[in-house]
Amino acid sequence: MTAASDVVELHELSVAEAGALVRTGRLTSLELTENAVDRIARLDPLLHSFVLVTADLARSRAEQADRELAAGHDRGPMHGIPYALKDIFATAGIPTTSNSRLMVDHRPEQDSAVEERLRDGGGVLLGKLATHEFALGGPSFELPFPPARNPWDLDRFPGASSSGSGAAVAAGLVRVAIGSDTSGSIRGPACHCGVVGLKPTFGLVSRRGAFPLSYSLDHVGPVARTVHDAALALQVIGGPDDRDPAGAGVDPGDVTSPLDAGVAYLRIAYGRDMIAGDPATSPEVLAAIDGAVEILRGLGARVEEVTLPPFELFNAVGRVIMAAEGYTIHERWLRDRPADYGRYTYQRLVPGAGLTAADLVQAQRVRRQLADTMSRDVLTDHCALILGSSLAPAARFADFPRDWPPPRAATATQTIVANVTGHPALGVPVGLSREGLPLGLQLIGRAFDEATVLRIGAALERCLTPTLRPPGY
Amino acid sequence: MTTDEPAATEREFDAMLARSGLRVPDDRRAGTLAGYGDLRRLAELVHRVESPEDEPAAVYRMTVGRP
Repeated sequence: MTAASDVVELHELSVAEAGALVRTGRLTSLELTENAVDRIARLDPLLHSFVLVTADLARSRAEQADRELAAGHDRGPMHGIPYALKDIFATAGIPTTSNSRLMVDHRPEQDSAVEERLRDGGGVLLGKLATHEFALGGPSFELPFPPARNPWDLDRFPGASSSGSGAAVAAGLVRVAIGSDTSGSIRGPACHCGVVGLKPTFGLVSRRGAFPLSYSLDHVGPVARTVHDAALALQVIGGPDDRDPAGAGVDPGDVTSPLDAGVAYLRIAYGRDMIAGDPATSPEVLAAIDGAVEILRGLGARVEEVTLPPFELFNAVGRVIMAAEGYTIHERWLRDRPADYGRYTYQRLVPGAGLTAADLVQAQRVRRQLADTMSRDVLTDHCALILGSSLAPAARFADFPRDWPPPRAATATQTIVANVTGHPALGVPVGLSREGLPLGLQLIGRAFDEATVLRIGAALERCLTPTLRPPGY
Repeated sequence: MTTDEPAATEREFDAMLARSGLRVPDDRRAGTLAGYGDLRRLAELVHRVESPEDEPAAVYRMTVGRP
């Protein structure tokens, strides 16, 4: 055992810390990988965050990473670092099920874009992570794999569809997980699990090889324990991909250097009215976000309350577009194999058949207005906007009824705002509830300015939650 | 289309299923109908008065450099 692993718990090392040790030879990628495989074996049987552990592949990749680094070949910040993928991302020759009976035997022939980039960046694939069926549905016990549980309370929901990503990172099974976010499925689990989740600007990270839910709302991004780790992951997975029709052809640039720059003199908008005006908002969530705002002010930022278009309009636009696109994707299977869908997924997809052409075009017209309003009226004078993420602490599984929909309080978020407008949005923890459950907020930034939301998030992280870890993990 | 009356919503729902060729299993009908009613309510919110020149967000765009 190396000197480094004698003095620290390996799973507590960030990507940057572990990477530095691996590069100096004080730690090996194989040690990191064996530690993760061991933790998964010990802790995940109750958590269910992984649906597949690719231990042998991981060991092989780790050994290769160690050989390359020893030979002076450094592939970048994820070199030698274990990671995992939500089980909607195609992995060549490795089952990719979307947690659906319709795809339970699916083994893609090609890797998704994010898997390509992480593999080419020297990363070590540990396995595939739990998801709601087709990144939609809801927590369900009738699918090929059980729902991931929240490590802060195993009786509770870990957040929306990238549920395994949030749970695995929070439990210290993996430092970085890649999730997808169509209406908040990266930021929701990050919020409920007390970790960081980044939904990048639409088009910055390729969606190629991610099973689609909604072509124009799907985003791919990292869930990580720290803001710095999320930034490092973005640098690896972001950038142009000609094979993603929505690819923006933009490189994320250097998003790590500004992380320590602080927030003095930054002008930040605060959508407090939207948060406080939602009946589902928990007073604890509002108080925690108010507290974070005061911290930012104390650090020298100028935080100003702003009035936004009604949340219900963002929600309506997003839900109509998602329903139309999702139904289109699943139309044939819904007709031919209805019984193979889980109840929630089926009940959420079929209503899309009832939308009209005018419904969809109108939603897209209002979407442009909302995006323009966000860019012009909010994010011209302000470099970021603070909004709620999940509006209440994680609900219990028992709060979810047999049929959709659950009570709104169980799933209420404001995350869909940034899916509709396409702006980058970072979910960061802002503390714990009285019951010891994580609370969070989201920072929405200017298009392709991930650097600024990460910078603000890092400033909050330094003051608020440097080491959130659920008891027992 | 109105969703004010549950009976009217259910009639619309059944017409939609017939038109789409979908056969909702009986034990999934209640939740699917509830989802339909909720989606119709949301869809009505996006039918705001717009100028004819207000273009949708998904307008197709040609790209220089691509054939």
